[in-house]
Amino acid sequence: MRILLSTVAAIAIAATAAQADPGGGKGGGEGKGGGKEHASHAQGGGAGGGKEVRGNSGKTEVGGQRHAQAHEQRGHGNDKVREARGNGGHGNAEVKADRGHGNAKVREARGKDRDDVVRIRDDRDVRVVRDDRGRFDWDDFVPDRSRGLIAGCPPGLAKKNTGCLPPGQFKKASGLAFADRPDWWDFDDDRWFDGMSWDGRYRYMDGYLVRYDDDGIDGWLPLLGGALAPGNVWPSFYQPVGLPSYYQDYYGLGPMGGYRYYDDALYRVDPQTMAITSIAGLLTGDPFAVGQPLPLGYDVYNVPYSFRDRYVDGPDAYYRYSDGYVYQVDPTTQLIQAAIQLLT
Amino acid sequence: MRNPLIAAIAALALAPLAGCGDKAPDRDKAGTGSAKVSSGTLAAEIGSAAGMSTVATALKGTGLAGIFDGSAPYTLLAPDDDAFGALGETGAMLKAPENGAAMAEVLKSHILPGYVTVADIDGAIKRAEGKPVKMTTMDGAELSFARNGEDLTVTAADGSTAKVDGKELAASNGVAIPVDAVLKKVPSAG
Repeated sequence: MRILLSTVAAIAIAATAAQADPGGGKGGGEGKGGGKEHASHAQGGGAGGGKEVRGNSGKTEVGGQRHAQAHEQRGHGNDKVREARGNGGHGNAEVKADRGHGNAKVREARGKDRDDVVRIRDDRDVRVVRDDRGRFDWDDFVPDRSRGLIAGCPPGLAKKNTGCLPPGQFKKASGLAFADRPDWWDFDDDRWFDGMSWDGRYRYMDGYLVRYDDDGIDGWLPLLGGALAPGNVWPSFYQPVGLPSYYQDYYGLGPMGGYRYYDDALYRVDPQTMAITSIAGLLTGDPFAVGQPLPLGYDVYNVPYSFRDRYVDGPDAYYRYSDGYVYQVDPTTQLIQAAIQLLT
Repeated sequence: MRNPLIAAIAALALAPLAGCGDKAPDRDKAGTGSAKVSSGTLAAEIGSAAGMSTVATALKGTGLAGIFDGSAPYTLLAPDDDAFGALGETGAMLKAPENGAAMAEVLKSHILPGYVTVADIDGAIKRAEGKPVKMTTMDGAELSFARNGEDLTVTAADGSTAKVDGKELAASNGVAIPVDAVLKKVPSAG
Protein backbone atom coordinates (compact mmCIF):
# COMPACT_ATOMS: atom_id res chain seq x y z
CA MET A 1 0.00 0.00 0.00
CA ARG A 2 1.08 3.34 -0.45
CA ILE A 3 0.78 4.32 2.88
CA LEU A 4 0.05 7.34 3.63
CA LEU A 5 -0.69 7.81 0.26
CA SER A 6 1.37 6.84 -2.31
CA THR A 7 3.93 9.17 -2.36
CA VAL A 8 5.35 11.72 -4.62
CA ALA A 9 2.96 11.31 -7.43
CA ALA A 10 0.14 11.38 -5.02
CA ILE A 11 1.50 14.49 -3.49
CA ALA A 12 2.00 16.11 -6.79
CA ILE A 13 -1.34 15.22 -8.13
CA ALA A 14 -3.21 15.77 -4.97
CA ALA A 15 -1.80 19.17 -4.49
CA THR A 16 -2.87 20.42 -7.82
CA ALA A 17 -6.56 20.54 -7.55
CA ALA A 18 -9.53 19.94 -5.41
CA GLN A 19 -9.06 16.67 -3.68
CA ALA A 20 -11.60 14.37 -2.32
CA ASP A 21 -12.38 16.84 0.27
CA PRO A 22 -11.77 20.51 0.01
CA GLY A 23 -10.50 20.57 3.49
CA GLY A 24 -6.96 21.34 2.82
CA GLY A 25 -4.38 19.91 5.06
CA LYS A 26 -1.26 21.02 6.62
CA GLY A 27 1.86 19.85 5.04
CA GLY A 28 3.63 16.68 5.92
CA GLY A 29 6.88 18.24 6.80
CA GLU A 30 9.90 16.51 8.12
CA GLY A 31 9.44 13.50 10.21
CA LYS A 32 10.87 13.26 13.63
CA GLY A 33 12.12 10.12 15.02
CA GLY A 34 14.39 9.43 17.78
CA GLY A 35 16.08 6.39 18.85
CA LYS A 36 18.56 4.16 17.29
CA GLU A 37 20.36 4.84 14.15
CA HIS A 38 18.45 2.49 11.96
CA ALA A 39 15.08 3.53 13.09
CA SER A 40 15.65 7.20 13.26
CA HIS A 41 16.80 7.40 9.73
CA ALA A 42 13.50 6.04 8.72
CA GLN A 43 11.68 9.10 9.84
CA GLY A 44 11.22 12.12 7.73
CA GLY A 45 13.05 13.13 4.69
CA GLY A 46 12.58 12.37 1.12
CA ALA A 47 10.25 11.07 -1.37
CA GLY A 48 9.14 7.69 -2.30
CA GLY A 49 7.66 6.34 -5.41
CA GLY A 50 4.27 7.08 -6.63
CA LYS A 51 1.82 5.42 -8.82
CA GLU A 52 2.04 5.50 -12.46
CA VAL A 53 -0.27 7.94 -14.04
CA ARG A 54 -1.95 6.85 -17.16
CA GLY A 55 -1.71 9.17 -20.08
CA ASN A 56 -4.61 9.94 -22.27
CA SER A 57 -4.12 8.79 -25.79
CA GLY A 58 -0.78 7.51 -24.80
CA LYS A 59 0.42 10.83 -23.57
CA THR A 60 2.37 10.53 -20.40
CA GLU A 61 3.98 13.89 -20.23
CA VAL A 62 1.73 15.05 -17.50
CA GLY A 63 2.58 12.29 -15.16
CA GLY A 64 6.19 12.56 -15.99
CA GLN A 65 6.22 16.23 -15.44
CA ARG A 66 4.59 15.93 -12.10
CA HIS A 67 6.91 13.27 -11.05
CA ALA A 68 9.91 15.15 -12.14
CA GLN A 69 8.85 18.12 -10.18
CA ALA A 70 8.02 16.22 -7.09
CA HIS A 71 11.11 14.16 -7.38
CA GLU A 72 13.23 17.18 -7.53
CA GLN A 73 11.50 18.66 -4.58
CA ARG A 74 11.67 15.68 -2.32
CA GLY A 75 15.04 14.51 -3.30
CA HIS A 76 14.82 10.80 -3.35
CA GLY A 77 12.31 8.23 -4.10
CA ASN A 78 11.70 5.91 -6.86
CA ASP A 79 10.45 6.49 -10.27
CA LYS A 80 7.12 4.84 -10.14
CA VAL A 81 4.71 7.54 -10.95
CA ARG A 82 1.27 6.60 -11.99
CA GLU A 83 0.67 7.04 -15.61
CA ALA A 84 -2.01 9.63 -15.98
CA ARG A 85 -5.02 9.02 -18.03
CA GLY A 86 -6.35 11.93 -19.85
CA ASN A 87 -4.61 14.99 -20.93
CA GLY A 88 -3.36 17.26 -18.35
CA GLY A 89 -1.15 20.13 -17.73
CA HIS A 90 -3.02 21.07 -14.66
CA GLY A 91 -1.65 22.68 -11.69
CA ASN A 92 1.85 21.59 -11.07
CA ALA A 93 2.83 24.93 -9.78
CA GLU A 94 1.22 24.45 -6.45
CA VAL A 95 3.05 21.39 -5.39
CA LYS A 96 5.85 23.04 -3.57
CA ALA A 97 3.71 25.49 -1.78
CA ASP A 98 1.62 22.78 -0.32
CA ARG A 99 4.29 20.80 1.41
CA GLY A 100 6.81 21.05 4.04
CA HIS A 101 5.15 22.50 7.03
CA GLY A 102 3.19 21.20 9.84
CA ASN A 103 4.97 19.67 12.72
CA ALA A 104 2.11 20.50 14.97
CA LYS A 105 1.49 17.74 17.38
CA VAL A 106 -2.14 17.62 16.52
CA ARG A 107 -3.02 18.40 12.98
CA GLU A 108 -6.25 19.97 12.04
CA ALA A 109 -7.91 20.82 8.83
CA ARG A 110 -7.69 24.42 7.92
CA GLY A 111 -11.30 25.08 8.41
CA LYS A 112 -11.99 25.77 4.80
CA ASP A 113 -13.39 22.43 4.11
CA ARG A 114 -16.70 23.88 3.11
CA ASP A 115 -15.60 27.07 1.43
CA ASP A 116 -15.13 25.62 -1.97
CA VAL A 117 -17.93 23.17 -1.91
CA VAL A 118 -20.69 24.45 -4.04
CA ARG A 119 -24.18 23.16 -4.06
CA ILE A 120 -24.96 23.14 -7.70
CA ARG A 121 -27.61 20.52 -7.99
CA ASP A 122 -30.17 21.21 -5.36
CA ASP A 123 -32.57 18.77 -6.84
CA ARG A 124 -30.17 16.07 -5.86
CA ASP A 125 -29.29 17.66 -2.60
CA VAL A 126 -25.65 16.88 -2.94
CA ARG A 127 -22.51 18.85 -2.47
CA VAL A 128 -20.16 19.03 -5.34
CA VAL A 129 -16.63 20.18 -5.26
CA ARG A 130 -15.96 21.94 -8.48
CA ASP A 131 -12.96 24.09 -8.21
CA ASP A 132 -9.44 23.64 -7.10
CA ARG A 133 -9.09 26.02 -4.24
CA GLY A 134 -9.35 23.35 -1.65
CA ARG A 135 -7.26 20.27 -1.65
CA PHE A 136 -7.14 17.33 0.61
CA ASP A 137 -4.27 14.98 0.86
CA TRP A 138 -4.51 12.10 3.26
CA ASP A 139 -0.79 12.16 3.31
CA ASP A 140 -0.87 15.46 5.05
CA PHE A 141 -2.72 13.96 7.93
CA VAL A 142 -0.16 11.37 8.70
CA PRO A 143 1.44 12.30 11.97
CA ASP A 144 4.97 13.35 11.37
CA ARG A 145 6.40 10.75 13.61
CA SER A 146 4.65 7.85 12.01
CA ARG A 147 6.29 7.77 8.66
CA GLY A 148 8.65 4.97 9.34
CA LEU A 149 9.83 2.50 11.87
CA ILE A 150 9.47 3.45 15.46
CA ALA A 151 12.73 3.20 17.26
CA GLY A 152 13.08 0.76 20.07
CA CYS A 153 10.89 -2.19 20.84
CA PRO A 154 7.15 -2.69 20.70
CA PRO A 155 5.11 -2.02 23.79
CA GLY A 156 4.82 -4.96 26.06
CA LEU A 157 8.05 -6.63 25.18
CA ALA A 158 10.48 -6.62 28.00
CA LYS A 159 13.94 -5.31 27.49
CA LYS A 160 16.29 -8.00 28.39
CA ASN A 161 19.57 -9.37 27.27
CA THR A 162 18.64 -9.60 23.64
CA GLY A 163 17.69 -6.05 23.05
CA CYS A 164 14.05 -5.59 23.89
CA LEU A 165 13.13 -9.14 23.25
CA PRO A 166 12.38 -11.58 25.99
CA PRO A 167 14.87 -14.43 25.94
CA GLY A 168 13.71 -17.35 23.91
CA GLN A 169 10.78 -15.64 22.34
CA PHE A 170 12.59 -14.71 19.23
CA LYS A 171 13.02 -18.25 18.07
CA LYS A 172 9.38 -19.10 18.26
CA ALA A 173 8.09 -16.29 16.15
CA SER A 174 5.22 -16.64 13.77
CA GLY A 175 6.48 -19.40 11.59
CA LEU A 176 5.01 -17.53 8.66
CA ALA A 177 8.28 -16.93 6.92
CA PHE A 178 6.73 -14.75 4.27
CA ALA A 179 5.45 -12.45 6.98
CA ASP A 180 9.00 -11.72 8.01
CA ARG A 181 9.61 -9.84 4.80
CA PRO A 182 8.70 -6.17 4.67
CA ASP A 183 7.78 -6.44 1.02
CA TRP A 184 5.08 -8.96 1.81
CA TRP A 185 3.44 -6.23 3.84
CA ASP A 186 4.02 -3.87 0.95
CA PHE A 187 6.59 -2.10 3.02
CA ASP A 188 8.97 -1.36 0.26
CA ASP A 189 10.41 1.74 -1.20
CA ASP A 190 6.98 2.77 -2.37
CA ARG A 191 5.26 2.39 0.92
CA TRP A 192 6.57 5.40 2.70
CA PHE A 193 7.19 8.56 0.91
CA ASP A 194 10.06 9.20 3.23
CA GLY A 195 11.98 6.92 0.96
CA MET A 196 13.37 4.99 3.86
CA SER A 197 15.42 1.92 3.33
CA TRP A 198 13.97 -1.40 4.35
CA ASP A 199 17.31 -3.06 4.63
CA GLY A 200 17.82 -5.24 7.62
CA ARG A 201 16.34 -8.30 9.23
CA TYR A 202 12.69 -8.36 10.12
CA ARG A 203 10.34 -10.54 12.03
CA TYR A 204 6.60 -10.62 12.36
CA MET A 205 5.57 -11.15 15.94
CA ASP A 206 2.73 -10.27 18.21
CA GLY A 207 1.04 -8.12 15.64
CA TYR A 208 4.13 -6.08 14.88
CA LEU A 209 6.73 -6.07 12.20
CA VAL A 210 10.01 -5.62 13.99
CA ARG A 211 13.49 -5.05 12.75
CA TYR A 212 16.33 -6.56 14.63
CA ASP A 213 20.03 -6.93 14.62
CA ASP A 214 22.45 -8.87 16.74
CA ASP A 215 21.64 -6.71 19.71
CA GLY A 216 17.92 -7.23 19.48
CA ILE A 217 14.99 -5.27 18.13
CA ASP A 218 15.75 -1.77 17.04
CA GLY A 219 12.54 -0.71 15.34
CA TRP A 220 8.95 -1.69 14.91
CA LEU A 221 5.66 -1.00 13.23
CA PRO A 222 2.19 -1.88 14.49
CA LEU A 223 0.07 -3.77 12.00
CA LEU A 224 -3.58 -3.61 11.14
CA GLY A 225 -5.42 -6.52 12.65
CA GLY A 226 -2.53 -7.24 14.96
CA ALA A 227 -1.33 -4.58 17.33
CA LEU A 228 -3.90 -2.33 15.70
CA ALA A 229 -6.96 -4.40 16.39
CA PRO A 230 -9.95 -3.73 18.60
CA GLY A 231 -9.15 -4.22 22.25
CA ASN A 232 -5.53 -3.18 21.99
CA VAL A 233 -4.28 0.13 23.21
CA TRP A 234 -3.45 2.65 20.56
CA PRO A 235 0.31 3.23 20.38
CA SER A 236 0.92 6.54 22.07
CA PHE A 237 3.64 7.22 19.57
CA TYR A 238 1.05 7.99 16.95
CA GLN A 239 -0.49 11.36 17.38
CA PRO A 240 -4.13 12.13 16.83
CA VAL A 241 -5.13 13.94 13.70
CA GLY A 242 -8.00 16.22 12.91
CA LEU A 243 -9.69 15.18 9.73
CA PRO A 244 -12.17 17.37 7.87
CA SER A 245 -15.62 17.14 9.30
CA TYR A 246 -16.95 15.41 6.22
CA TYR A 247 -14.77 12.40 6.82
CA GLN A 248 -15.59 12.39 10.49
CA ASP A 249 -19.25 12.24 9.59
CA TYR A 250 -19.02 9.87 6.68
CA TYR A 251 -17.02 7.26 8.50
CA GLY A 252 -18.82 7.81 11.79
CA LEU A 253 -15.68 8.79 13.61
CA GLY A 254 -17.13 11.19 16.10
CA PRO A 255 -15.18 14.10 17.50
CA MET A 256 -11.46 14.42 17.34
CA GLY A 257 -9.79 12.47 20.07
CA GLY A 258 -12.03 9.53 19.46
CA TYR A 259 -10.37 8.33 16.32
CA ARG A 260 -7.02 7.81 14.71
CA TYR A 261 -5.82 7.71 11.14
CA TYR A 262 -2.81 5.65 10.26
CA ASP A 263 -1.64 3.74 7.21
CA ASP A 264 -4.79 4.30 5.20
CA ALA A 265 -7.04 3.05 7.95
CA LEU A 266 -9.37 4.81 10.35
CA TYR A 267 -9.75 3.57 13.90
CA ARG A 268 -12.13 4.50 16.64
CA VAL A 269 -10.57 4.72 20.06
CA ASP A 270 -11.81 5.27 23.54
CA PRO A 271 -10.56 8.76 24.40
CA GLN A 272 -10.15 7.78 28.02
CA THR A 273 -8.39 4.47 27.78
CA MET A 274 -6.99 4.80 24.26
CA ALA A 275 -8.19 1.33 23.55
CA ILE A 276 -9.10 0.68 19.95
CA THR A 277 -12.82 0.09 19.82
CA SER A 278 -13.25 -0.61 16.12
CA ILE A 279 -11.80 -0.23 12.68
CA ALA A 280 -13.94 2.41 11.02
CA GLY A 281 -12.70 2.23 7.48
CA LEU A 282 -9.97 1.49 5.03
CA LEU A 283 -8.89 4.09 2.54
CA THR A 284 -7.39 3.90 -0.88
CA GLY A 285 -5.70 7.22 -0.48
CA ASP A 286 -5.81 7.47 -4.23
CA PRO A 287 -5.21 10.94 -5.61
CA PHE A 288 -8.54 12.06 -6.94
CA ALA A 289 -8.80 15.70 -7.82
CA VAL A 290 -11.14 17.73 -9.92
CA GLY A 291 -9.52 18.54 -13.22
CA GLN A 292 -7.12 15.64 -12.93
CA PRO A 293 -7.16 12.26 -14.61
CA LEU A 294 -8.96 9.41 -12.98
CA PRO A 295 -6.40 7.29 -11.13
CA LEU A 296 -5.66 3.85 -12.41
CA GLY A 297 -7.61 0.92 -11.13
CA TYR A 298 -11.12 2.24 -11.47
CA ASP A 299 -12.28 0.53 -14.61
CA VAL A 300 -15.38 -0.86 -12.98
CA TYR A 301 -18.47 1.03 -11.91
CA ASN A 302 -18.46 1.03 -8.11
CA VAL A 303 -20.94 3.64 -6.99
CA PRO A 304 -22.59 2.88 -3.63
CA TYR A 305 -25.84 1.05 -3.88
CA SER A 306 -27.99 3.84 -2.53
CA PHE A 307 -26.62 6.31 -5.09
CA ARG A 308 -26.88 4.18 -8.16
CA ASP A 309 -30.10 5.73 -9.25
CA ARG A 310 -28.51 9.16 -9.23
CA TYR A 311 -25.14 8.48 -10.71
CA VAL A 312 -25.52 6.30 -13.73
CA ASP A 313 -22.76 5.89 -16.26
CA GLY A 314 -23.70 7.36 -19.58
CA PRO A 315 -22.27 8.99 -22.69
CA ASP A 316 -21.79 12.33 -20.97
CA ALA A 317 -20.30 11.21 -17.72
CA TYR A 318 -19.39 8.22 -15.69
CA TYR A 319 -18.95 7.85 -11.99
CA ARG A 320 -16.53 6.20 -9.66
CA TYR A 321 -16.36 5.99 -5.89
CA SER A 322 -13.36 6.33 -3.63
CA ASP A 323 -12.89 7.21 0.02
CA GLY A 324 -16.26 8.74 0.66
CA TYR A 325 -16.78 10.57 -2.60
CA VAL A 326 -18.34 9.82 -5.95
CA TYR A 327 -16.36 11.35 -8.78
CA GLN A 328 -17.87 12.41 -12.05
CA VAL A 329 -15.57 11.72 -14.96
CA ASP A 330 -15.62 12.99 -18.51
CA PRO A 331 -15.66 9.89 -20.72
CA THR A 332 -13.77 11.65 -23.46
CA THR A 333 -10.97 13.30 -21.56
CA GLN A 334 -10.99 10.93 -18.59
CA LEU A 335 -10.68 13.99 -16.39
CA ILE A 336 -12.54 14.26 -13.13
CA GLN A 337 -15.25 16.85 -13.43
CA ALA A 338 -16.68 16.90 -9.95
CA ALA A 339 -16.29 15.37 -6.54
CA ILE A 340 -19.59 14.60 -4.95
CA GLN A 341 -20.08 14.27 -1.24
CA LEU A 342 -22.46 11.57 -0.18
CA LEU A 343 -23.83 13.13 2.95
CA THR A 344 -26.48 15.77 2.80
CA MET B 1 -32.96 -9.79 6.31
CA ARG B 2 -33.89 -9.62 2.73
CA ASN B 3 -36.36 -7.06 1.59
CA PRO B 4 -38.21 -7.94 -1.61
CA LEU B 5 -39.08 -4.33 -2.31
CA ILE B 6 -35.51 -3.21 -2.02
CA ALA B 7 -34.42 -6.10 -4.12
CA ALA B 8 -36.86 -5.17 -6.82
CA ILE B 9 -35.75 -1.56 -6.76
CA ALA B 10 -32.17 -2.70 -6.86
CA ALA B 11 -32.81 -4.84 -9.86
CA LEU B 12 -34.30 -1.90 -11.68
CA ALA B 13 -31.49 0.36 -10.63
CA LEU B 14 -28.65 -2.00 -11.38
CA ALA B 15 -29.73 -3.36 -14.70
CA PRO B 16 -29.04 -0.26 -16.77
CA LEU B 17 -25.71 0.24 -15.11
CA ALA B 18 -24.14 -3.01 -15.88
CA GLY B 19 -22.95 -2.06 -19.25
CA CYS B 20 -23.06 1.65 -18.87
CA GLY B 21 -25.54 1.85 -21.61
CA ASP B 22 -24.76 -1.55 -22.96
CA LYS B 23 -27.02 -4.47 -22.60
CA ALA B 24 -26.76 -5.98 -19.18
CA PRO B 25 -24.74 -9.19 -19.18
CA ASP B 26 -26.36 -12.53 -18.81
CA ARG B 27 -25.66 -13.26 -15.20
CA ASP B 28 -26.78 -16.84 -15.36
CA LYS B 29 -24.41 -17.39 -18.19
CA ALA B 30 -21.74 -15.82 -16.07
CA GLY B 31 -22.31 -18.59 -13.65
CA THR B 32 -22.66 -16.33 -10.72
CA GLY B 33 -26.31 -15.52 -10.79
CA SER B 34 -27.99 -12.40 -9.60
CA ALA B 35 -28.18 -11.79 -5.91
CA LYS B 36 -30.91 -10.00 -4.08
CA VAL B 37 -29.79 -6.96 -2.20
CA SER B 38 -30.07 -7.39 1.51
CA SER B 39 -31.11 -4.51 3.68
CA GLY B 40 -28.59 -5.70 6.22
CA THR B 41 -24.90 -4.97 6.33
CA LEU B 42 -22.26 -6.87 4.49
CA ALA B 43 -20.75 -7.99 7.76
CA ALA B 44 -24.02 -9.66 8.66
CA GLU B 45 -24.35 -11.25 5.26
CA ILE B 46 -20.89 -12.72 5.34
CA GLY B 47 -21.40 -13.91 8.87
CA SER B 48 -24.29 -16.06 7.85
CA ALA B 49 -23.09 -17.19 4.43
CA ALA B 50 -22.33 -20.81 3.72
CA GLY B 51 -18.74 -21.55 2.79
CA MET B 52 -17.43 -18.28 4.16
CA SER B 53 -16.87 -19.20 7.75
CA THR B 54 -13.12 -18.71 7.50
CA VAL B 55 -13.49 -15.23 6.13
CA ALA B 56 -16.21 -14.40 8.61
CA THR B 57 -14.08 -15.53 11.51
CA ALA B 58 -11.06 -13.71 10.17
CA LEU B 59 -12.95 -10.48 9.71
CA LYS B 60 -14.21 -10.65 13.24
CA GLY B 61 -10.88 -11.61 14.71
CA THR B 62 -8.93 -8.88 12.98
CA GLY B 63 -11.56 -6.22 13.50
CA LEU B 64 -12.03 -5.73 9.79
CA ALA B 65 -15.66 -6.71 10.14
CA GLY B 66 -16.13 -3.20 11.43
CA ILE B 67 -15.63 -1.66 8.02
CA PHE B 68 -18.41 -3.83 6.62
CA ASP B 69 -20.76 -2.55 9.26
CA GLY B 70 -20.45 1.09 8.33
CA SER B 71 -21.96 3.24 5.64
CA ALA B 72 -18.88 3.34 3.44
CA PRO B 73 -19.19 0.72 0.72
CA TYR B 74 -16.67 -2.01 0.11
CA THR B 75 -16.53 -5.09 -2.03
CA LEU B 76 -14.87 -8.20 -0.71
CA LEU B 77 -13.59 -10.89 -3.01
CA ALA B 78 -14.14 -13.56 -0.44
CA PRO B 79 -11.97 -16.66 -0.62
CA ASP B 80 -14.20 -19.53 0.35
CA ASP B 81 -13.33 -22.03 3.02
CA ASP B 82 -11.83 -24.38 0.48
CA ALA B 83 -9.52 -21.65 -0.72
CA PHE B 84 -8.00 -21.32 2.72
CA GLY B 85 -8.01 -25.06 3.11
CA ALA B 86 -5.93 -25.38 -0.02
CA LEU B 87 -3.17 -23.46 1.71
CA GLY B 88 -2.60 -26.38 4.02
CA GLU B 89 -0.51 -25.77 7.09
CA THR B 90 0.19 -22.23 6.06
CA GLY B 91 -3.50 -21.58 5.87
CA ALA B 92 -3.98 -23.02 9.31
CA MET B 93 -1.29 -20.77 10.70
CA LEU B 94 -2.78 -17.82 8.93
CA LYS B 95 -6.03 -18.44 10.74
CA ALA B 96 -4.39 -18.52 14.13
CA PRO B 97 -5.38 -15.54 16.28
CA GLU B 98 -1.79 -14.55 16.90
CA ASN B 99 -1.34 -14.13 13.17
CA GLY B 100 -4.28 -11.81 12.79
CA ALA B 101 -2.20 -9.09 11.20
CA ALA B 102 -1.07 -11.45 8.47
CA MET B 103 -4.64 -12.46 7.85
CA ALA B 104 -5.67 -8.82 7.77
CA GLU B 105 -3.00 -8.11 5.19
CA VAL B 106 -4.31 -10.96 3.08
CA LEU B 107 -7.87 -9.72 3.37
CA LYS B 108 -6.94 -6.16 2.46
CA SER B 109 -5.74 -7.40 -0.87
CA HIS B 110 -9.22 -8.75 -1.50
CA ILE B 111 -11.15 -5.58 -0.70
CA LEU B 112 -12.18 -3.09 -3.36
CA PRO B 113 -13.46 0.40 -2.75
CA GLY B 114 -17.12 0.85 -3.46
CA TYR B 115 -19.96 -1.36 -4.48
CA VAL B 116 -18.99 -3.74 -7.26
CA THR B 117 -21.16 -6.52 -8.58
CA VAL B 118 -20.28 -9.26 -10.99
CA ALA B 119 -22.54 -7.53 -13.48
CA ASP B 120 -20.53 -4.36 -13.06
CA ILE B 121 -17.35 -6.24 -13.78
CA ASP B 122 -18.86 -7.89 -16.82
CA GLY B 123 -20.12 -4.54 -18.00
CA ALA B 124 -16.64 -3.08 -17.75
CA ILE B 125 -15.13 -6.01 -19.62
CA LYS B 126 -17.72 -5.60 -22.30
CA ARG B 127 -16.94 -1.91 -22.64
CA ALA B 128 -13.30 -2.86 -22.91
CA GLU B 129 -14.24 -5.14 -25.77
CA GLY B 130 -13.39 -8.24 -23.85
CA LYS B 131 -10.09 -7.10 -22.51
CA PRO B 132 -9.26 -7.42 -18.82
CA VAL B 133 -10.27 -4.60 -16.54
CA LYS B 134 -8.65 -3.46 -13.33
CA MET B 135 -9.74 -2.40 -9.92
CA THR B 136 -7.60 -1.08 -7.14
CA THR B 137 -7.59 -2.83 -3.81
CA MET B 138 -7.29 -1.52 -0.31
CA ASP B 139 -3.69 -2.62 -0.16
CA GLY B 140 -2.83 -0.39 -3.07
CA ALA B 141 -2.40 -3.05 -5.69
CA GLU B 142 -4.65 -3.77 -8.62
CA LEU B 143 -6.69 -6.80 -9.48
CA SER B 144 -7.33 -7.71 -13.07
CA PHE B 145 -10.64 -9.25 -14.07
CA ALA B 146 -11.10 -11.24 -17.23
CA ARG B 147 -13.86 -13.32 -18.69
CA ASN B 148 -12.74 -16.65 -20.05
CA GLY B 149 -15.79 -18.36 -21.34
CA GLU B 150 -17.94 -19.16 -18.39
CA ASP B 151 -15.24 -18.24 -15.92
CA LEU B 152 -14.68 -14.85 -14.45
CA THR B 153 -11.07 -14.87 -13.36
CA VAL B 154 -9.22 -12.54 -11.07
CA THR B 155 -5.47 -12.03 -11.17
CA ALA B 156 -3.49 -10.21 -8.52
CA ALA B 157 -0.34 -8.23 -9.08
CA ASP B 158 1.75 -11.00 -7.56
CA GLY B 159 0.35 -13.49 -10.07
CA SER B 160 -2.16 -15.14 -7.79
CA THR B 161 -5.30 -16.12 -9.60
CA ALA B 162 -8.80 -17.12 -8.61
CA LYS B 163 -12.15 -17.68 -10.18
CA VAL B 164 -15.48 -16.37 -9.06
CA ASP B 165 -17.23 -19.47 -7.87
CA GLY B 166 -20.58 -18.58 -6.43
CA LYS B 167 -23.33 -16.08 -6.13
CA GLU B 168 -22.39 -12.71 -4.81
CA LEU B 169 -23.80 -11.45 -1.56
CA ALA B 170 -25.23 -8.01 -2.12
CA ALA B 171 -25.87 -5.99 1.01
CA SER B 172 -26.83 -2.40 1.55
CA ASN B 173 -23.25 -1.33 2.12
CA GLY B 174 -21.26 -3.69 -0.01
CA VAL B 175 -20.84 -6.86 -1.93
CA ALA B 176 -19.04 -10.12 -1.25
CA ILE B 177 -18.03 -12.12 -4.31
CA PRO B 178 -16.89 -15.66 -3.55
CA VAL B 179 -13.61 -16.71 -5.12
CA ASP B 180 -11.95 -20.09 -5.11
CA ALA B 181 -8.42 -19.08 -4.18
CA VAL B 182 -6.52 -16.62 -2.07
CA LEU B 183 -5.33 -13.67 -4.10
CA LYS B 184 -2.12 -13.02 -2.26
CA LYS B 185 0.80 -15.35 -2.17
CA VAL B 186 1.40 -16.94 1.18
CA PRO B 187 4.31 -19.29 0.64
CA SER B 188 4.77 -22.21 2.96
CA ALA B 189 6.65 -21.41 6.10
CA GLY B 190 10.33 -21.95 5.72
